[in-house]
Amino acid sequence: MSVKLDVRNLNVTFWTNTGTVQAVRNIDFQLNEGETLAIVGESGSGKSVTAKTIMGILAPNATIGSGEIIYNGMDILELNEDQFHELRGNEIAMIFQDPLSSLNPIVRVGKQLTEAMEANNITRRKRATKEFQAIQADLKLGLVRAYEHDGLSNSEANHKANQNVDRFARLLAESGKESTRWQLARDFFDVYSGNLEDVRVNLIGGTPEKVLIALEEVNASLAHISHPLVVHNASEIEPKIKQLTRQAKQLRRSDDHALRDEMLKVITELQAQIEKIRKDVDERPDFLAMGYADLKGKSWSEGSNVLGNINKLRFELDKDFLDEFTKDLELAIKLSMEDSVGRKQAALKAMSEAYDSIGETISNSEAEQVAAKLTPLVNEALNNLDVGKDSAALIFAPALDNAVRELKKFRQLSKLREGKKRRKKFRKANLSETTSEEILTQNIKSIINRAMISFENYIEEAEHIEYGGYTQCFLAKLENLSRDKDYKLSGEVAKERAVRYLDEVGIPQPRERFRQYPFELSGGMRQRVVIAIALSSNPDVLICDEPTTALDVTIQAQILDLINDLKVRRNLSVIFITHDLGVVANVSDRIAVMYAGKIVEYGTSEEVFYNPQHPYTWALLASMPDLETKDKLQSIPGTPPDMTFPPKGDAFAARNPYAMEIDFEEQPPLIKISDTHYAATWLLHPDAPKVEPPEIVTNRIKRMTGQDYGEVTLHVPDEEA
Amino acid sequence: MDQSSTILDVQHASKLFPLKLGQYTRAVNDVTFKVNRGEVFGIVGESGCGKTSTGRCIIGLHELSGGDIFYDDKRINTGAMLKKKEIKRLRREGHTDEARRLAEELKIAQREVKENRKAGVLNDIQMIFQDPVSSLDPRMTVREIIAEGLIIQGVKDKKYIDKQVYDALEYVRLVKDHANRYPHEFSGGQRQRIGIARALVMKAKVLIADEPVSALDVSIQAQVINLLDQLREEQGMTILFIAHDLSVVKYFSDRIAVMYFGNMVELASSDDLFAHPFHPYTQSLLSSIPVPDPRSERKRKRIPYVPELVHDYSVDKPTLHEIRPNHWVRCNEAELQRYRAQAEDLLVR
Repeated sequence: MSVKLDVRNLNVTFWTNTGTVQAVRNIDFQLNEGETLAIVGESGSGKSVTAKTIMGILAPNATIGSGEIIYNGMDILELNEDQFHELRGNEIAMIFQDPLSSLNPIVRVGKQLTEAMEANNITRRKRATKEFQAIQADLKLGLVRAYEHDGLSNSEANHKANQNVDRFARLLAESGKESTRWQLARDFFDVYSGNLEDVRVNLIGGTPEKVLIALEEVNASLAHISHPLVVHNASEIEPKIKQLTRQAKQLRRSDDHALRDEMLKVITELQAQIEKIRKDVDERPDFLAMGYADLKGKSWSEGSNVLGNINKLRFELDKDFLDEFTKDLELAIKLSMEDSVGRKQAALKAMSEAYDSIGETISNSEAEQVAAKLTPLVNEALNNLDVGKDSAALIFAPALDNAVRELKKFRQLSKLREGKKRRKKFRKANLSETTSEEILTQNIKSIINRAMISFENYIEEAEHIEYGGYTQCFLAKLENLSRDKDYKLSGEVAKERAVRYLDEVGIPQPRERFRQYPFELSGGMRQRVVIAIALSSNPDVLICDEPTTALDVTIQAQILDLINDLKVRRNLSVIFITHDLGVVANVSDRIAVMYAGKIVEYGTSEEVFYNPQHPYTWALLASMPDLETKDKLQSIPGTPPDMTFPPKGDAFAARNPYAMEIDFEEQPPLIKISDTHYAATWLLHPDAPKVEPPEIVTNRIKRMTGQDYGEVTLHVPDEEA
Repeated sequence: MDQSSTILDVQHASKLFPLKLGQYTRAVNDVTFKVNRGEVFGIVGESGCGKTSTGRCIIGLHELSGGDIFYDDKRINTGAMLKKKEIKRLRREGHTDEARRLAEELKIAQREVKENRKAGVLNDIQMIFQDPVSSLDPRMTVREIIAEGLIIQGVKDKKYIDKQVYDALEYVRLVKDHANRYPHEFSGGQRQRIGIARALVMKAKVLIADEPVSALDVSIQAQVINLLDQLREEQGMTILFIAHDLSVVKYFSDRIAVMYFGNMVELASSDDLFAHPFHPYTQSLLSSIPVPDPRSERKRKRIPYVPELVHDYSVDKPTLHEIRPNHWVRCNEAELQRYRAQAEDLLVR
């Protein structure tokens, strides 16, 4: 199982009028692919702040003191806002607690779903065009170098490269067009059959007026399908629609069951027909052949026979060119990679020198010098014909720049603070604890270090690389870019997709809901719409921030089932945030219990429920009744500590009946219990006295597992059993 | 104390809210139940099922549309609207005597309600609300909030009021100093306890707790529930506990009523209801309670409830029937036979 998201040593503070609040203090956790990690804690424990940090939507008064969040090999904390735009929503999506406040009350449900899709399509097209042009230029340079390597003169090589790249781009565009057309045909069929379904539904239960309106929509959608495939069939479809419209008008005059049945029969016929055509489209037919057949008024199979020979010839011509081009490209990639490895070695040397020269702290001018020296070296060392693995190096320049600027800003601020020292003594004392010159210097060093590791890996991989496969990857990337840049999403297609998403999250009658406003829906339905919006851009990671707290039990169960279901179907990795331990037993694979900005217990769901080790987990379990509970509930005395002045020792010590003297003196480290289970409590120290959790907890564990506390065998039972 | 005597008697209570001209939504539909002295009576159901409206009708925040509510045999709420409709219908159909008799009865009932309310009968019933933030006035100190009820009643003695406030505060485990603070200075659990103190100071005999723990963190829920438990034990208070969290209701209540779309579908003692739910909606509700046990949770199947598929009420309309002693289910004749057979099966076993 691979790690999808890796949070290391994260530290978040908030500036407020009363001082800096330490919301998240040095937490570490990993989110594996396809699993659900539950983060459980009281309000104010920092669980939502963690989620917001991952989404990059922290309030402006928040500072991220230290830490890394590694996603896809890059630290997302060092991305700038533009880079984050591509990540947020597309790759990491979030669902919030209150569905009403995350939906716009005056915009229809459907519009809220489609507007993101349409906006996304526009930006994707723009981005793809830009990237495609950049790669095209790089490709030309690489090919020129390859041809020169083969012994052509400069001007000849230039000419050939230009010609070949242009021809290749044309080919890409053509194949892209064809596949786009194919995609569009599929989409339009969805629109068309969806509208037909509307007519059917209205025929069964609606008024004649509604039937007429639905029929008009069918007509409109037919007009939009300007595709050879449909044009061919229009002669069969149109009279039927006309007949239906006539009948519908008749229906308006005298509502009659026999007439409705008759119309239903026609609709069923049309639907069967459309199903058949759609099957053909799904098999990706020969569009050219169809167009030809249509032109000559012959059947499709005949058309494909006539055109078969022409196509074959064309394919042979293209194939020769493509073979040659691929070979040239392979050489170009090889050369570019060799060059890049050489430059990378040079950059690596410079970086390791710079890394060693940096001591505990670094002065402003020195930091600037280091940045000025390293940035061009690293930028040059990048391989232009790369599939996109160099992400650590790509963000090196902005990250280093940012870190240096932060150091300078910090120095300026602390100078200012010196002046106000007398008035705001306490504030200064708090500040210096969270951030310091050492930490900021450490940041610079870690950025350099990460780039070094990435370069070393690259050089190592370059020795064993298989250029054939690499070239294919590169071609596939180009093809994707070319398709993205040409694909225009129309409003109708977006609507059909939105309806499909609404259907996927279990909303009945999605076509009706599409036109409604959020206030017309119940709480559970609203939350489903929010989930549908989050899913509409196909994210990898889904963060659910108390998605069921505002809902009641039956709806909560439905939403939990839905999230579980979607997780499996789409292979999502889910972070599930809640204050209710009872809820997470159903959804989570692993659980992290947070208290006062720290993770106090971290383990698989079985380990936390059947073998809890931290007193806070015990207290949470003891304060929650279940269906068998008869004893008095144990509430946790007191309130969470004020995180402006966090306590010196264990933050939970003051409310902990098991607290020892050391708990007030020193913070406990995360102590390992098993490979997957950790808890931060001194009770696990070998010198600590042995204590038992509260009776209510041990009783429950015994009841659930049939074994005593501490003796529970923790292995996951077979799914079938 | 007489444990079995009835303190609250709700008879055929209905509450209609107007939607558009001439259209109404039935929030509470012909609900009948009795609450015994000193018991905790739980009402569960999803949001919008009318449980809060029922509570609000009892305390007099809403006027009933039909039916009556008695507290200690004194009428405290009566529904005029449906009765007037009935009278009109009778008159139209020519039963003038019957209509006149009903009109007379309604007049007496309304006068009774007015007099009882004037005499302060409703002071014995107090309510705590779901959201502890919005139910306390942010511009009043805790002392003013708690004493407000006494002052409205006309108590003038400052020392007496102070003593009552401090006693109430002490009872909910807050200290005297807290009286001079404002609500925003307290945590959620503390605020909810201030709400309880406000009810205590009125010497309430019946407490209507409308989702008192839903807005609180799990660790704080226990504080409030333990306090309510103590009130019941020490002061013999009767509590009408309205909630949607079934594990809390099960833990806390003696008897439970399940509501669905304004109707009471099942009413039984807490253990009985959870051991042998008869109505399909109750079964569905029980199957959706989350349990803190990963192994059994993974295996669990939830039972969906679709009224159209389960019931056929086209001919025979359902009413409440007693299936077993003290176990009431809303069903029609056909279902009644089936449930009775199930109940006998249980007895045999």
